[in-house]
Amino acid sequence: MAAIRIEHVALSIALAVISAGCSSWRPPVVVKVARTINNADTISSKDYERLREVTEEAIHHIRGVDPHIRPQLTLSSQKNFVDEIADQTRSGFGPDLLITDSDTALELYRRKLVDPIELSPEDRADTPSYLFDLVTARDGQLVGRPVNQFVQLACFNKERLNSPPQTLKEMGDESEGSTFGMALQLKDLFWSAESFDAGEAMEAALGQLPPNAEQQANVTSWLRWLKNASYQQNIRFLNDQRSLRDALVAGDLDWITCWSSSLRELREKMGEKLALAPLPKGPSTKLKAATKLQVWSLGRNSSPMQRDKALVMIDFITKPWAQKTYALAGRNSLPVNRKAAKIVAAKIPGGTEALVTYAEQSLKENAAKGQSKARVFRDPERYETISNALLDTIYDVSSPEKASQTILKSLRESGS
Amino acid sequence: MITQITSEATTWLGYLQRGSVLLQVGLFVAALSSESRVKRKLSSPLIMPAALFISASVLTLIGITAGFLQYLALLWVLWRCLEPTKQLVHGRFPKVPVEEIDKSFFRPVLLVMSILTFVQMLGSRESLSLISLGEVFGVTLTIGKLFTALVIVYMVVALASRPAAFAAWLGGHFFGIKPQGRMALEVILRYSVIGIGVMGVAYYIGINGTALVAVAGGLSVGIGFGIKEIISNFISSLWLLFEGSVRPGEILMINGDPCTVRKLGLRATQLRRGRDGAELLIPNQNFFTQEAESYTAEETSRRDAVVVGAAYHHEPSQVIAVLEEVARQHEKVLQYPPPAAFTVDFADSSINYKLLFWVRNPLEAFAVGSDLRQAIWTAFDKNGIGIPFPQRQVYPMEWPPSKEQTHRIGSPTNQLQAEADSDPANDSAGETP
Repeated sequence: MAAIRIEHVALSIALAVISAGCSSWRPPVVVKVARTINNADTISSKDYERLREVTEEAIHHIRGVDPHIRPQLTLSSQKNFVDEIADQTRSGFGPDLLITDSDTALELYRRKLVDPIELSPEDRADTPSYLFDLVTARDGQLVGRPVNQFVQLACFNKERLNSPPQTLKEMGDESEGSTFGMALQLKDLFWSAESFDAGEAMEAALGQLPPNAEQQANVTSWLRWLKNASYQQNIRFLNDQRSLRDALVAGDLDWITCWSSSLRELREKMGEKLALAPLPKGPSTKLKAATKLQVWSLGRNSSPMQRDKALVMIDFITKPWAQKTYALAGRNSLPVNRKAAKIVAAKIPGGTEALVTYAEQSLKENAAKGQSKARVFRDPERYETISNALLDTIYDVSSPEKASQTILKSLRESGS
Repeated sequence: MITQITSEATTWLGYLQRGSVLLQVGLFVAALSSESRVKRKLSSPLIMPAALFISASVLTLIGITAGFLQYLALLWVLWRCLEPTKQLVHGRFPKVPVEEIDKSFFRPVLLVMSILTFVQMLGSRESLSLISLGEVFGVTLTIGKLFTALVIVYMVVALASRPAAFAAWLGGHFFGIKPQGRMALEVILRYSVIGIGVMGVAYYIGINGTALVAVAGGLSVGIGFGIKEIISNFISSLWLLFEGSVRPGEILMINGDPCTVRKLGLRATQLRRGRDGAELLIPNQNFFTQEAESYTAEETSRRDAVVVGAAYHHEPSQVIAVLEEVARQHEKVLQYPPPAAFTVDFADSSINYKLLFWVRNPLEAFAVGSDLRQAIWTAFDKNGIGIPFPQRQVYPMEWPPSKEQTHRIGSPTNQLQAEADSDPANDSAGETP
């Protein structure tokens, strides 16, 4: 009986589909967009409210470009995101578009959950090439299109800390009066490596070149600084960015490293108390910009129509006009498009000077040409080895010298 | 809320624009349909779902998107496995309440798991669960919270009886509580677990305890008038539970009939009447308004009586001795308190005696009484004791009647009384001393 009923339903659906195909009316093409957020382990209704605020206008604009597109956004926490997408893709319910960071996009590609994207030289022209390197898999395929950059900054409570430390040395000196916090994750601590020019030694190791004594000493100096910092009474290492932000909001910390992607949340919770500054400089005199790249990737279950519309959306969002408009509206990211980035850098208002600094820095391609970060971050094994070496140094399990050798050896093995 | 649900439904409709999804749905429908046609030819109900599952797994292995089909087939297999598993467990362990566990636990768990995994597969679990249904006591109630709350409440209500029974059994053994006390303890524990569970769910949803108390205070007057009887019964049940005067397994006298308490509910008590096995549902408050003597408290033993008459010419002490001996011989009559017989009346045609005896189970008093009456008849017959009864004489419709026209009713051979040569003039009075 139940089977007969299901048969009738299936027949009705088939008839509806056929009749829709015969008429001139075409149903809108639903494009499912999955977006990750880093703020929490679980998604709350507030996250959806924020998403609606941010995307309402953009969806309206996209439907202006192509009225047949019907984007449907869902949010996912970073935790278990790849596994969830794997389950959905295996069943045929995977998203058509995935908005995530470059590392996750690489992981998704490695597990064959996203299709590579092909871009013409014209499409690539307005975006710095190092950004494409960050989303290029080992086989040379582009796993997604870079859309925005989130920069790493120092966020501090200006009622508790008058002037933020400009250098790592100042940070150590000031730590008696204020409390500083950093996250125990390689991707959150990598800025400090670049402050010591430790990236060069890593670069050499990846290229199978023996690092010279100076380069190796830079890695050791970086690790020694980390170790010394862990001895400081007022410098605290917390597990992740979430814990850092909570501690800053609660007043347990006065200064933390933060990503511009969480500025909206911090602004809402701290109001006028929140101030931003560039990250402290180390011995290196070179300009560096620690960025996290937001990329749009293509899911594997899309129908040809859905794939077309997904590409239309990607094309739309990377146009200079859209890049500029949404970056200025959000005030927490920099567009990847050079032209738009210039405009955004010039128009970001006074309270976010730090963003401007980084915007200027990131435009100078040479300043962020290093490949080591991209290659390390896309390789889970190397990433874990280096993370473990960092933890061993901070927890005083191994000496900075020994840890630096472990790191460089691991990178040399990955290059072979 | 409607907008959000529509939005989710639109996403699901988007899946139907994909060939891979349509193919999987089509294959599943085809499998269902073909099974209904060849059902009689299949030796086992598991063949078709298992074949579909294997096919879907093979398709997945060779890289064709068939995870949804695999999932549907797996659910189908699981559903079909329920009945054989139940039969198997019942065959191996007849004492396990398989039917109850199946209905109250396995099927609901399978249903909930199916819903959750399906929504998860669609990628809508979080977005759907965050859809707001409205405000309850200042808390935003979402679909996810409501679903979780309902599942937890169901699980607590359905499963509370087992741990409660175990705890009661353990407590009973440890503290030496009587079986009836254990049952009362079990009921109290069960409702306590349910109460704690429901409160936990309220706190999980985020309902403020103070707000609940305030609202309860405001509503109490209205409730007092509106559903007075229900509240009264509820309070009565709690009182009875704690007082312990009415407990499952106990025997109460309801309108003179012994009844066994089967279940003490929150509104009414369910009893089985011993006389005819009828199920009675008596509102709990009746136990407070009716006479206290209507139920037996802790002692279930009951005294019953058999009334019998013996002819006037028999010496009462001899009759009493016979009666007491008959009672003592019955195995269900308690030896202590001992049975006792008394002379209770000099009636018109007999001296009446009452034999009082005690039985352990009041429900057996009726049967024991019957046994005793039969045994008394036999014992009287053996001892030559007659049981007199009134006799009637019928006169013809003429006056005065002639002596020949008087008919004697009954045959002397059928009478217990020994006097066959009685004077017809005295017949109207029956047996005389």
